[in-house]
Amino acid sequence: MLRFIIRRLLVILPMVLLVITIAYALIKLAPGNFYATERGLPEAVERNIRQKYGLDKSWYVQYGKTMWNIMRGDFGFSRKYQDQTVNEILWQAAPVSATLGLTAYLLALTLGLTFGTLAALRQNSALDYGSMAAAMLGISLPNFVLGPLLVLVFALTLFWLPPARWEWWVKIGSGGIPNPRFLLMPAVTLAALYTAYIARLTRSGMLEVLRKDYIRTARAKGLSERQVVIRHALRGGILPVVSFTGPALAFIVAGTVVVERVFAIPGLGNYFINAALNRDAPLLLGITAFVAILVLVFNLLVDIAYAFIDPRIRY
Amino acid sequence: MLSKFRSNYTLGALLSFALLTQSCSSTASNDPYFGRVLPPEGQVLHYITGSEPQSLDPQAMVGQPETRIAVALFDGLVEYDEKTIAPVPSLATHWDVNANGTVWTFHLRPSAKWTDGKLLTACDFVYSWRRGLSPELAANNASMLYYVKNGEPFNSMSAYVRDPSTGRFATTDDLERAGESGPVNFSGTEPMNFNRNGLNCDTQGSQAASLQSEATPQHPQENSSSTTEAKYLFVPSDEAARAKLLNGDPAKNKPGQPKLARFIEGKQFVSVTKENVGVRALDAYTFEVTLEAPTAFFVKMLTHQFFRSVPRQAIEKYGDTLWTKPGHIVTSGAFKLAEWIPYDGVAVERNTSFWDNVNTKLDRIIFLTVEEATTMMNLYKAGEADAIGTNYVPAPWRNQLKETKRDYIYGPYVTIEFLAIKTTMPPLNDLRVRRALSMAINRQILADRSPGQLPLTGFTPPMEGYEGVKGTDFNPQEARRLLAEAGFPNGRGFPKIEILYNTLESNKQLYEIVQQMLKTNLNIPVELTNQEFRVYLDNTRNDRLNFKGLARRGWVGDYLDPNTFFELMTSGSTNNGTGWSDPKYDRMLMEANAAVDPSVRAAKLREVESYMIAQQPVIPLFVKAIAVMRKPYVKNFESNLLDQHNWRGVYINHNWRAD
Repeated sequence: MLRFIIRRLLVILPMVLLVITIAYALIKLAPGNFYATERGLPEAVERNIRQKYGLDKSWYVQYGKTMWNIMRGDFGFSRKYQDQTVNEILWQAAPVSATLGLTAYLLALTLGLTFGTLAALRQNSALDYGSMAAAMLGISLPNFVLGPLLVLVFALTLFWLPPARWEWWVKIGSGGIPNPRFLLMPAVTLAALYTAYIARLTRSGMLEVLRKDYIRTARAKGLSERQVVIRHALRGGILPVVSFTGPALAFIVAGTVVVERVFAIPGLGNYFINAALNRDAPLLLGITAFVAILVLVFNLLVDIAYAFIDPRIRY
Repeated sequence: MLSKFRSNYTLGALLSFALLTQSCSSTASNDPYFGRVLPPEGQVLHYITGSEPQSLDPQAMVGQPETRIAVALFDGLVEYDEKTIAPVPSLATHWDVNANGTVWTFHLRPSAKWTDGKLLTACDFVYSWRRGLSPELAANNASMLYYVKNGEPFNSMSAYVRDPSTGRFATTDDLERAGESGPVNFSGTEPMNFNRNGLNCDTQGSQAASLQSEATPQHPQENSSSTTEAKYLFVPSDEAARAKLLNGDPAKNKPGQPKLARFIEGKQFVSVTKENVGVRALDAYTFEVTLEAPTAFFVKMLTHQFFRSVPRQAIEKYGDTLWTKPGHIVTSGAFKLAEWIPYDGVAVERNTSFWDNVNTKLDRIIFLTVEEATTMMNLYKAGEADAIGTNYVPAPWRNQLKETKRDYIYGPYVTIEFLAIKTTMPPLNDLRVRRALSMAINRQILADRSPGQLPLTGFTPPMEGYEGVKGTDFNPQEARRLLAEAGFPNGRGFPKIEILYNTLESNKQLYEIVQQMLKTNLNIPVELTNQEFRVYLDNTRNDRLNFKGLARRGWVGDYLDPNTFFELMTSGSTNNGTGWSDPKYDRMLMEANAAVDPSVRAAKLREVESYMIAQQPVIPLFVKAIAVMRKPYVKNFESNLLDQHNWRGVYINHNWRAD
């Protein structure tokens, strides 16, 4: 087990560097540049800018310098947000996205597991049809429709919740405890899709497991239905949910793009979009590296979790 | 990668569609205002300014959202008038101009201070303007200071050419006189060093300089050098760049300059330094600017944040990028930085040491940084924001808001929308074709799509003191006749052209109408091509012109003078984007700008405009409109031509219903 973890951890670094290299190549190949605006620049001004940022050097010098700095953990200053380093931006924005993403995922996990399990246990009942219909709606209703709908009802008609923005209730470092008034609607918007997925995955997983021999054995031993479901069935039934968790959690934290825009939340999402639109190479590389690390780490955690949940798996 | 961007725009479109229903349901109500009207406690304004500031350094920023914050934080020589946007005295109590408009002397207010208590002096301006031009800062806006003597040569790292034997400098005349026959004696004297007769701001520092002045202030005309100083010859000071100029650059299709090479052979190159830039402090409170050429509109530019003074003490201590951090930043305006949360907002609070603090009414302004237009409208509607900057009100909402809501304000904006014609491409190199295209477009229909927009056939929005000219307007019969005359009767044989625009739903809707007009009236096929913003910028550059026929352009005036538009079409302009270049036009514009008398100048500018429009390198479409939301309790906040605000006068009237 330990060897497995170490081996996987060793792979992470070259993987991240590879991802950064690909991202670097893509942004260099994309037409346009970060300093262009609608007002064209005189030749001299353009030359000064290129010189200031080392763009007059050959590509391998630029690439080498960028990679060397990145390996020392320094992504440099953002090209667009000139007063801020990429590390500062990540430090400010990541806790917001992480808080929003984790809340949404926990919400999705709780609701999804509950309704998925209940639906499986009462297959073809009204509860089953009801929750699966709701899940279908959750999957097909995009968050850029759901978000504004919630805003319309709770912020603009009932005036219960603020329509947008973010507030820390208690601030610790650059994160803290969020103010639930600001968190609620974006978290629900973000959670809807994942709740639906988890409910469906749980339901089908459970349906399969409940027909297995070892469940019959458990029942034959005389265990209570509660013990059968929670101790035996659920462990096998949620395996699909667990494997879904790795990528989902990473994307939910990094990719809250739409929800963050709709609710004007100062998370990573806005930066991610704008870094690409602005050809802001350092920021784009920083966020890409961050997301890549998240995905790889979460996948590792998921694999470790397998070993605990599924007795058949040994590393 | 690109498809990702595109889906983002589609998403925005869907979003606005989803929220359209929302607006309709609310605007249908009889409420005279959009959403809740809840004045904040105290004198606090929540203003949505747009996207996250690029920087708080007035010399580094280029976008409009952050310039509004800069105006609150940094005092200018002159400040915007809230209604007319004309320059009103601020740091400069008054100013003089010499007879030919090349030397401007600003008399500064001795009571002005930085937030750290240091006095704000003429040396701060000398430092700031030199910094704005310095190649190391590499400011995007540096060319705004090219009007200042030697601004361009300093910014572009040029050098004077000196003859080591005589010590004299080469002028452009010398180069012209240099025949094939023999050497020419250089005629230029030692170039002007603006430190010499003013305060030496470098050694004394901005603070000390204010107290002791060795130089006696002189009348600007006595030491004005611009009229007598020769036109020096400049070459790149960097050897490689110079070699490229002399030998030509085959990659850019530039021929070599053998005559120049022979002319400067064996000569010395003296780099243009910051002391050569035409700014100096005559004494602690007298700032003198020498311009390259007579420039009548110079003071109108000075409201722009790029000309505002930056704090030398903080920049030298923390460096060019880190000085704007909360805790480091030193400012001079009516407000100072309180808090900056990226992608949420920038809060500024009253600067009690500001010289005009008694007349500042707001205690705090929170500039909210929000990007999605519908989210802005939601915040406004819920009463979480008191005003929204221009152009964020989604276009489809505007006509209805105009009919039903009193807090929607609109008016003309110094922004024009036009089509640039690639005049180098046949058949568009034929004037008759260009005019035919222009006459096939019914501008009234385009303008009427949003309240306050005006059809445009000339090249200037309405401006005080200048009446723009009229160009070719909608006339389909004449258009067809011209097209037939050019060899395309009823559009037969006309090659396929395109309209290139940057990807945006509103652009698509607009240019589909134009496409239809060209099809109906001239029977010519026009394709619409959209490109992601930065790709589009690259392809419409004057040195690329990588589009087939027409490209959409919008131009926001930087200051309230026709020159901000006419400058676009000059030969050297990187913003020209048409391939059209006419030395006569360049000369006419220069002459007009040299006219000191406003009515003479206006008449000359009209000639400039008619000359250019008659050549039709562009198809003007309409003048855009300001669209602002402002709660009824926000007072002294107008929908002016630039949507810039003099924040000092704005206030919250808690008793607004009584008005």
